[in-house]
Amino acid sequence: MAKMRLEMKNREKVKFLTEKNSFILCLLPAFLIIGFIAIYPLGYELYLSFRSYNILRSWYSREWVGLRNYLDILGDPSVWHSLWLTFYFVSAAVGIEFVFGLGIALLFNRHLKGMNIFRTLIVVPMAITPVAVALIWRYLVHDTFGVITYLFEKLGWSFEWYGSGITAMPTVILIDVWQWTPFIFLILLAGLLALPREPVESAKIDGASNFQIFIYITLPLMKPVIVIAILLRLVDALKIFDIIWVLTKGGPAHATEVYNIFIYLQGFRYYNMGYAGALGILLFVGVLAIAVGFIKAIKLEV
Amino acid sequence: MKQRPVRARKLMGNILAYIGIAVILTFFLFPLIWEGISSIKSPVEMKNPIPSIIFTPSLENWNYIVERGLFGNLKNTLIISLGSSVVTLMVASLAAYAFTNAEFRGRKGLALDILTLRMLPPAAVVVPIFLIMKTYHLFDTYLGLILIYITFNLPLACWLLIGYFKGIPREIGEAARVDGCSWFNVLWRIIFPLSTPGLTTTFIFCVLFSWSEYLFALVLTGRETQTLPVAAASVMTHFFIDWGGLASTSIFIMVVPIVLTLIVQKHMVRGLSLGALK
Repeated sequence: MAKMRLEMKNREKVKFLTEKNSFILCLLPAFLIIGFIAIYPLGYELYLSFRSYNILRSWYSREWVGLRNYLDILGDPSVWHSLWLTFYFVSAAVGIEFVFGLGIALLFNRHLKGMNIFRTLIVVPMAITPVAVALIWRYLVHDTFGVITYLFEKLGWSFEWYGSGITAMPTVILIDVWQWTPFIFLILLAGLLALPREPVESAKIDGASNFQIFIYITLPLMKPVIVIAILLRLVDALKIFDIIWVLTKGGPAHATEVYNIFIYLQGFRYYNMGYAGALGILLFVGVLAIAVGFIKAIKLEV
Repeated sequence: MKQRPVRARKLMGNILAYIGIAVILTFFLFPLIWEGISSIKSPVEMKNPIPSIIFTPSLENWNYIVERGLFGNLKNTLIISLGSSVVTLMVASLAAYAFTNAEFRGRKGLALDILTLRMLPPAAVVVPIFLIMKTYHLFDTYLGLILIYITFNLPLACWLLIGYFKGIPREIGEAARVDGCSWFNVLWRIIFPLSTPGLTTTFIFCVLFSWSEYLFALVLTGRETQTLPVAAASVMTHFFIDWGGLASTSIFIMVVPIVLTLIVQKHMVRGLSLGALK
């Protein structure tokens, strides 16, 4: 009897620890940190967004202004300009990276001598600190000392790269494509390598051309991987800041002033913390919508 | 009879493929090689408007790294990235352990909520975080930036570790529990040793992020804790840009991330896709 009771007690204890309390203890540190560094600032930002708060004025000038910051944003042409530039940057960069990355993945998906080394080498740009990437390109396309500018001039094409309003954004896009095409490439190559062989082989026997195989078999089979690659890249492209800040600081004449740069300028150059806070809240809401769609599409398993 | 044309076509195809690969590799590697070459040019050579390939190498640009005290920034970057990555790994492995080994309501929803944080652009919260860090006197301290990097690394670390922990059969842990092993000891003595490669990879991913992060480092560090990317970017704030110093500085700050990336290269796809692809 006594022994049985002891056993019962032990079993209850085991159950108690696994299912009720221990997991809370395990999750606690993670949620404390997320609460303090993510939720609290967001709440504080919401509070800021209803106030006129300029850090250059005295601490007490934080008066309640209701929705004025948000209304100002709606009527501010600079905001719309920065939104358009963000859209321009993200769609062009991700679009080019996808087409280019898919092409390279198809080219690298074959058995050739040295292929493993080639696949490794191509990943290097992705590893580099974005600040260093911007510094490298700043030098490469500099109008006096840049080697690429020099080579282009030899070919008869001369333009100012990041120095002129028309070519500044394409230059930023070029740099992003240089750094992040390997990302799309890696994910798509992994997808290609994991494809089953049978569908392609039976299509070949049936006399399908390479192009038909690609359109009707490879692409449909690759769809889930393509969705993951594009969504991940999209979400990261929306974070763009470093390359533009180091290259042009949003200039020349606001030509590369994307939304993130605009927030930074409002907050840390003009010190309009309330206005910048409202901009941040809007960015958060927009990205949250994308994130929810993303998580539905990616189908992760816990 | 038929074999020869097929073989010839295959050979042609391979040659074309090699040419294509060469062009693509040139596009992706030329900027780095050029920056490397430039970093050992003398300042006079740097100012030559006709770029030269043959020149007498000089280490003058590399002196610049010592002169500008970039080793101090290296120390800051090391403290911040290693410190934040160690804590991230501890916090995330506890959470991942709960997510994979406990049954509770909202388990999956909660794990996905953490993932949402991975998508958040730093620019969306940089203003309030700056003000909060000022208020709590965490501005220009190691702790301030470490806390930020822990938070921004947690989602990826959690999800990678969930993937690795799931690969360990639950029966092993359950058997140990029956034998009287405590909950924590199952994690410490069974799951950790069995997932060392996963822990290492996750750690390296955290270091990579913290090493290169710029926006928060720019806003939250001052004289004392300035990290490498911030110091490197400030090379250009001078009226006169020292292109040689800029070249050696960029090489200097990217060596560690490149080496780390080559180490985790095999696990790259898994890390980049948050464990969705293996």
